[in-house]
Amino acid sequence: MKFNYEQIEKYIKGELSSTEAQSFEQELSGNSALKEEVALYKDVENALSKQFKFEAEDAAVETTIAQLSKKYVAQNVKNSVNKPQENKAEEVENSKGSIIRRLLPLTTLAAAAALLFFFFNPFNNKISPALLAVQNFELYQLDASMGSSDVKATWQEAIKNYRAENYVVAINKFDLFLKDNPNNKEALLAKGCALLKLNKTDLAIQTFQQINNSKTANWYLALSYLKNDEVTKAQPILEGLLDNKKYGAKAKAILHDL
Amino acid sequence: MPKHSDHKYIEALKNNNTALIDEIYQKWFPEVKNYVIKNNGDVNDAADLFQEGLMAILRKARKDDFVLSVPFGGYFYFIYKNKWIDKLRKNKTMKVINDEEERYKDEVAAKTMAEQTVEQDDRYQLYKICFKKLTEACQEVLRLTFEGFTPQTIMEKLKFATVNSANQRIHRCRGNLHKLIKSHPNYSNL
Repeated sequence: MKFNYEQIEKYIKGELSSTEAQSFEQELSGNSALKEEVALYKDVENALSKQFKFEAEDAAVETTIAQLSKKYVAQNVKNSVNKPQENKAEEVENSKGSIIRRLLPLTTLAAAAALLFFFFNPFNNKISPALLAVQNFELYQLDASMGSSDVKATWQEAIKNYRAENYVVAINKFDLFLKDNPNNKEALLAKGCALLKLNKTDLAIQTFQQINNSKTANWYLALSYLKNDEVTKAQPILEGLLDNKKYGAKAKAILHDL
Repeated sequence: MPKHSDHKYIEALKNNNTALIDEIYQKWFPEVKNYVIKNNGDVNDAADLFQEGLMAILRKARKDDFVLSVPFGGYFYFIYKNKWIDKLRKNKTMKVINDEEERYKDEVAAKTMAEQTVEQDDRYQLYKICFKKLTEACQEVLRLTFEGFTPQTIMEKLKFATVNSANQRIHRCRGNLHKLIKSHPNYSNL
């Protein structure tokens, strides 16, 4: 069924004349499909306009939360490793008398071994690809000194906003710069990172794909695929980085966690 | 309803207050971790669930009229419990133990508020998935619309010939988005 979205929009915004509004309301009362469509229109508008309005702020909160998650997961692993040793000391002191008490150190050791195996078994360490991407992401650092004089102002505006985390404005400035310098690697890398910070992962992937012969671009592309949960696309890129001085160790660690 | 003192955690999320968000973790991460581990998960699942729960609350909090009038602990419990049960339901072999139910059994208002939050978040997630399935051109034009730009500005930015042609594209793309949403298997569950 086709709907007149222009009319729906005007009705919701109160831009229909009183006669038109009356007629629309009459149609609404007898048309459940139209009623559903109007309700959906309002809900989608409300949900997605808020998403885009607070995109940058929400991305910053998400980063904070991801960092705290990493901290508390690491703390949990540390606490669990310490516990079995405390239990063992206690059991050595108390091991006198009955068969049960004599057997207890053995069962405790077995429990400690199982606990260690649970936390350090490489096949059981499951971290989500998106969390791996966030944990390994560092913003690309730019050089403000480059650029010819006619576009220098645009470039410097872009960097200023990029460093101030005004990513929406920074992206607009990078786009302006890229109009005259479409293959500029620095601008594309920074733009891609800014898009990632705004969780516009698909656009970030497209941006990094425009850069040829760059290990740095490949690294960010791999992180973008991980953030998008496209592990099969990230893996070959990470494997291609294993020999790289800068990214090799990190790529190896991520592949291990995957 | 009057604002609960725990409303400070809602403001903390909105303002990215690291110290207070850390306090949320200190107070409730052990509980979430215990619940998830007792119900077929591990500590990393707990971290993911904690994150999803907080982001769902943040999105709810962006509505200007949202005031937390119940204790944060009960509200958060029912959110993460709902989300975890939902995940386990998708993996039909897993069972759930309602371990913390006793602690929060009298918090009916918190349960209702949490259910509304989860429902709203499920709708948001569906809309987000469907938005990403649109063509780049439609995503571009609708993004600008949702960001609040007028058809005149969209015409200039995206180089449409007239305002009318910009409007036609906006409405066509909106129709495509609605179609994707209504044909998604999760739509009927909302």
